[in-house]
Amino acid sequence: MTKANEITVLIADDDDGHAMLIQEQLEDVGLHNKILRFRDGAEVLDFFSGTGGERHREPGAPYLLLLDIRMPKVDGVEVLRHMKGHDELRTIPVIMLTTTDDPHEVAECYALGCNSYVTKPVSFVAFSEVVKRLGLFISVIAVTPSGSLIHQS
Amino acid sequence: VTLIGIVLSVLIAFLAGRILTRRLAVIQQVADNVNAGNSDSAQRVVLAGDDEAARLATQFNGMLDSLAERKAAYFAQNQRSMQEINDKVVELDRVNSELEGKNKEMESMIYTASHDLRSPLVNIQGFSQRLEKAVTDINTRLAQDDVPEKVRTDLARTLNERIPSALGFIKASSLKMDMLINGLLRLSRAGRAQLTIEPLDMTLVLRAVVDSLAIQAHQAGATIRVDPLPACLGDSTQINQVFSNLIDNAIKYRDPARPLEVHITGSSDGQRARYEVTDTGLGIAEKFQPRVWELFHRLDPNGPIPGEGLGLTMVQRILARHGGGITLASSPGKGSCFTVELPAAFLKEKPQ
Repeated sequence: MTKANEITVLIADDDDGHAMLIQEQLEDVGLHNKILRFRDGAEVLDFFSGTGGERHREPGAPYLLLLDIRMPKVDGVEVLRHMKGHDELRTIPVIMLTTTDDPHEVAECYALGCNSYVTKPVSFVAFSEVVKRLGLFISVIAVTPSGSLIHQS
Repeated sequence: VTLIGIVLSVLIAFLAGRILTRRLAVIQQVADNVNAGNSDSAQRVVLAGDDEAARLATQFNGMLDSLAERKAAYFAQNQRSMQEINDKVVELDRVNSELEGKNKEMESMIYTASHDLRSPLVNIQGFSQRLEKAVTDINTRLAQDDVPEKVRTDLARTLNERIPSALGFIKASSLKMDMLINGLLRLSRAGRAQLTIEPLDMTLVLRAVVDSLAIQAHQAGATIRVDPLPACLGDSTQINQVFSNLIDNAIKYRDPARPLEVHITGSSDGQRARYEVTDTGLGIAEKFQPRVWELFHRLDPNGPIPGEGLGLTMVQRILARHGGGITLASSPGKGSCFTVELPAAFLKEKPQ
């Protein structure tokens, strides 16, 4: 079993502000996990394949990926598609982050196997709610044996 | 001799008559064929000789020639007209698909732009919250005993008035902008959504709309009446949206001076179905009437009635996509009547 604080949170977002806000809000709700930030989909794929230099995936280590959809080079949907088609990566929980709640986009991501889908909110209350849910989500995954995924909608 | 002469001449006349009749019958045969339309237009009377029948045959053939000529000219003209019509149809198709393409392009541009515009807003709003939290942190620290009273009073106005008021403006404006962008997104989504056109029982559609607005109507003290309505062709979700917007508007823009009545009536001439949403609300002055369809236009943007000025723009666009339309008749102090037009439909069986 994995402890919640052992999970490395991967934030893939090309917007510095968004990444910092997510990180600070995670801290605000009491999550002090190790956080790695990626600026585009290509960096994430490099991290997982080990072709990205010093930052690379540790086999067997638990990860949670917060994945922005609109990113340069390789977008979030592509990253998701790659991960869910990969034997070792498919069990890593992925939460999609986006600025719109376009039903087509949501449906596509769920069809590809993302675990949750979060619309980046603008209002204060909504944002903390989302982050609290993220925190809850992370602790729920933590007590789940790896390989079985929690589907949270 | 005289008798023989008479008999002979009668015989000759008789024979000549028979010969002429037979020769005329040849012409008759061709005439019948031409009349019945079962001969090709090249058929002509062939009659040798120099008698009246032969002359008649020549005249008859001349008439057939000129008829054939006119027919050919007529066909050629017809052919040209058909070609012209075909060309026009092709041209129209081309213009149509070009327009459709332009429309799609614009919708997707709106979509991308709204998406991108929302991104910086998340930061403006998010970091305003961080600053708010920072102010709270500073205040907590200032409240501790080791802080000199003078520092506390010097910072009080900045921390408790200036910064919160500045943040208030930033947050309110970004929320407003967020609302507008969401409106644009909804509009572009409605424009891109696949339509499922089917015959709609409008009495049922309106019943669902009125049910969903029951709470607002009750709170506003409004009476909503729905007459039996003719069927139309449309996408049930979008047509529901049209009437939701119209009735919601009627409730929002009611006249506090008198109770609100909304009456929905309909008629159909078999081709087009018409629905009137008539209210006893505030009414709209004539000079503002053309502007109600404009994007983000609101009668009183700073008034107490919430909204983003999107409802009627959406209604108009939805109806345009359905090959329908909407018109407004209104007089201030009396109320408004919105007339919706849609392609008529017939329901196979009347649901109970």
